[in-house]
Amino acid sequence: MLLGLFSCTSTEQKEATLQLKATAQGPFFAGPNSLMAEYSINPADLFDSEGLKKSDIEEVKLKSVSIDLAKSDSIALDQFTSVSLSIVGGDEPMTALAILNPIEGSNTPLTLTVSEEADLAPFFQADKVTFILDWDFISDDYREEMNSQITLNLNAALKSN
Amino acid sequence: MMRSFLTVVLISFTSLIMAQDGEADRLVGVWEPSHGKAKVKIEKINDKYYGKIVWLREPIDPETEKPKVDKNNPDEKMRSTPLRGYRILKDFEYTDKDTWTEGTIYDPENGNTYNCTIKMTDENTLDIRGYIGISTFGRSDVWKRLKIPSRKK
Repeated sequence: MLLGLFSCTSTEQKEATLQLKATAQGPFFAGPNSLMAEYSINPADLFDSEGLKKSDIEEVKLKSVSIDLAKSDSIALDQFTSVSLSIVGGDEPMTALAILNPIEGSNTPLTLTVSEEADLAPFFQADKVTFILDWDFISDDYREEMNSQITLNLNAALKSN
Repeated sequence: MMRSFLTVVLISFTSLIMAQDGEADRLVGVWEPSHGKAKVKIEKINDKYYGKIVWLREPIDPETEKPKVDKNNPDEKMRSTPLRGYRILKDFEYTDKDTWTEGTIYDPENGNTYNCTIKMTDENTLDIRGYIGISTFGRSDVWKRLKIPSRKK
């Protein structure tokens, strides 16, 4: 008689929103300048799921990305031609996540076009990741500091028992 | 006695790490490939090295009459990424004397990414070798360091 063993693990879809502040010290020169935001990975906190472990994360896709300038910086969108977002962390290769080119109008927050191929799940196995926000300056800017707010909406597939 | 010995060991170890960091950071700077079509700025992010295009000899696409973008990117959603500012060198680690490995080089002319090794032959010269599979079957290029004049405020 054969006995079959069946896994009782299924997958649950969850959404989460991650808000980060990216910052860089000036001066800033014409062309791309990088602001950075670090995030310490805490799946249970992010997905509001007590006891959730990194190993429970099967897939994480970026649903949307929006970027806002810090009002205290008094910097206008017409100083930039484009903005892009990438991620580094752990042993994973740097991955491009989203782009907005060109930047048109003056309304914020900006909504970027998101990569369909990028999977953030491998990055969530690391202790921390760094998001890199590249603003392309039209001309030199000698301010001491620049800040931006990044809002990421995530779709995740999580193992559930 | 033991405490002094441990202190000496700790200081020696720390000095060794700092010296190695200094050697690794020699890669930081602006470099020009042999074709002269672009200039690439190599910078350090966390503990790895990345190179982005900061200048293009022909920055405007003659077809669109707009700044060149990454039109050959295999990810269609990312094809509007400007080439100026594009990181074509990624994830390099200092692994041996004068050598950085574990990285990749991206060719925007065909949208392909290759494994890559960087060897510093002298302070102002890099041997950049891109390959698929093993480095024996690859292509090398020589990059020269650019001296950047200091900017006035």
